[in-house]
Amino acid sequence: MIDVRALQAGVGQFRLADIHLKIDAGDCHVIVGPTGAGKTFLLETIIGIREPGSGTILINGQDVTRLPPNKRHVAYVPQDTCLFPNMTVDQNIRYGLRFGNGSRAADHEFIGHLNDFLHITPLLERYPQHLSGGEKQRVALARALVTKPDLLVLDEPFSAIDHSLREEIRRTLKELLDEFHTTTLIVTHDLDEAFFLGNRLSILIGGRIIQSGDRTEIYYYPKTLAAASFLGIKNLFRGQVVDIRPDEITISSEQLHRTIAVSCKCAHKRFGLRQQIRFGIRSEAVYILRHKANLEARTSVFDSIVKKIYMRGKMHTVIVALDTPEHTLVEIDIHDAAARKIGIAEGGVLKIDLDPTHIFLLPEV
Amino acid sequence: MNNGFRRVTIFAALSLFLLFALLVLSLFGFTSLSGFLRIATSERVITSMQLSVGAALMATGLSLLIAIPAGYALSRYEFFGKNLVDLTLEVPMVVTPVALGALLLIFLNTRFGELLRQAGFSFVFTFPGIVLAQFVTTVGIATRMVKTTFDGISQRYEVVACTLGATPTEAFTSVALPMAKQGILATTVLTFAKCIGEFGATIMIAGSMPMKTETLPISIFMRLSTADIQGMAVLILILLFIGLSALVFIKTVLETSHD
Repeated sequence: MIDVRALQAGVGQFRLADIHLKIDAGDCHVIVGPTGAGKTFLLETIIGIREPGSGTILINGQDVTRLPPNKRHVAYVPQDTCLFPNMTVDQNIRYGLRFGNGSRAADHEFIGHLNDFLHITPLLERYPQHLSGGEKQRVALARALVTKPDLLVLDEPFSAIDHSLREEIRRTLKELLDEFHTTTLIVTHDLDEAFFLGNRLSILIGGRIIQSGDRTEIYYYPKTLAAASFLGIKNLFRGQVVDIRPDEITISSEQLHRTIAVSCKCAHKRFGLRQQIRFGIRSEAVYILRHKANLEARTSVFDSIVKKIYMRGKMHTVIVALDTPEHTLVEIDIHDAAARKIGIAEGGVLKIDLDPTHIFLLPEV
Repeated sequence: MNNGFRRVTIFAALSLFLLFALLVLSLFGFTSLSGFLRIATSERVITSMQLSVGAALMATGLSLLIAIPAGYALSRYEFFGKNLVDLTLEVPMVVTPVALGALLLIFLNTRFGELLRQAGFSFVFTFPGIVLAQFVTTVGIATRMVKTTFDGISQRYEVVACTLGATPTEAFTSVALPMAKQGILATTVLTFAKCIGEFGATIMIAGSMPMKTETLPISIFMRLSTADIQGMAVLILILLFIGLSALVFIKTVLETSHD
């Protein structure tokens, strides 16, 4: 288990502030954030090439905060893989066995299994210069896992790989982590990658972790405006709390001209009566209703007019204006096949539902 | 692209070659094959060649002994006085070799120089003096070249090696150094070529004693001062041959490494 407590570190004007991070054994945790958020800096502090100002890093209960990288049992795969060009694939993979890893080091059977799993057995005699991006990534993973590390750290693992190969390598990595139960920390700015790989995620912005949680929680229920913006959520509205119960909160929104009841755990602890708040919903959680649907009584159902359709391959983004005095715009993501079936066209009328079970609430800043 | 512009730039490049070709060809007007062989195989010239090559090999070795760790430190670490050290590397370039030799001579006449002499290290008018002069004039540039080589190698390779269990020294010797091989080889050959051609500092410290401290460049100067043009032409051709061989060697090695 990895336990980072109150970690603070800085370089120049940049500071990592009060980082808390727990990764259970065998879990895959993804730190996601925009460029310049401090993801790589945090990772470098955890692997030991930067010294923190304060805080502790515990790996399986051992305090490694002041240990050099070669004593931490943390394997690192940088974004450009950094395979040693002066060694063959086989020599690269076995590199970690040279240095006193003793009983931790993998045996030949394990290496063979790893090589087969990653389909690199036919590549063993080649030099890295003669490998494709995907092959390099697989070799780098094998090299890291051979030492049976307590923590595997991956920095933007797919950024140097062609788009066409990414999905394949992502699946390979996912299967690999499931097969070998390696505790893993990944940093990335790619949300697709983060939600695909991480069991748990943390959003890092400006050197601070602003939210940690499981995949669904982070995906549908951001807790701050910064997190919602980073996740690319466009449907954000203003409202006021008009009623609070332990697990439900009622919001009145002049912007939407409605009063909507939303499920919210511990609502009374997070919000107060008459508090101005923001609330929002992901574009794929906005449903388009058939005209005969029996949901008209719901206060979250709106008539709308399609203003714009953006075709994005298998998904379309539909911008609609609600039939309210303010004509508030709402973004909807819908599959190409569904859009064709419904026959969505610009200027057409749609009945939509801002599904209250997917509405998230944010304190007004 | 404008055709006239293309022609002008290519002409500039070709005229550069033409200039040096003409200079070298002019040497052949002052010597014949038999004259070349007679002078080139004379005892004095052979001794000069042996002195030049021997001293250059030793000075190159010494330069690299300092340049590799120093270049690595300048490339990888932040430390007090780093900018000052970096600036120092260029001193042999901005101070003429004669002045550098004079500096050395003055230093060897200080109390510290006296102590060195008493300890058995004698440099003035000796072979070690030649090595010292060549070392001082090349160590800065060799360090600069090694630093540039390491700058071109991402430090992440060593970080990866360390996370796999290597100590910083093991990461250096097993990863960084082999990756810097081509650059260090180029540094070695260029340092050697510069040592072979070193004149100013060498004559200030080691003088121009035939059969003792007379390296090839000094020998050229001595032949000129006695109006022995044919002897001078032969020595220049020998020096050119050694220098060009070194450059061709580097070019071949570097091109092979890119295949």
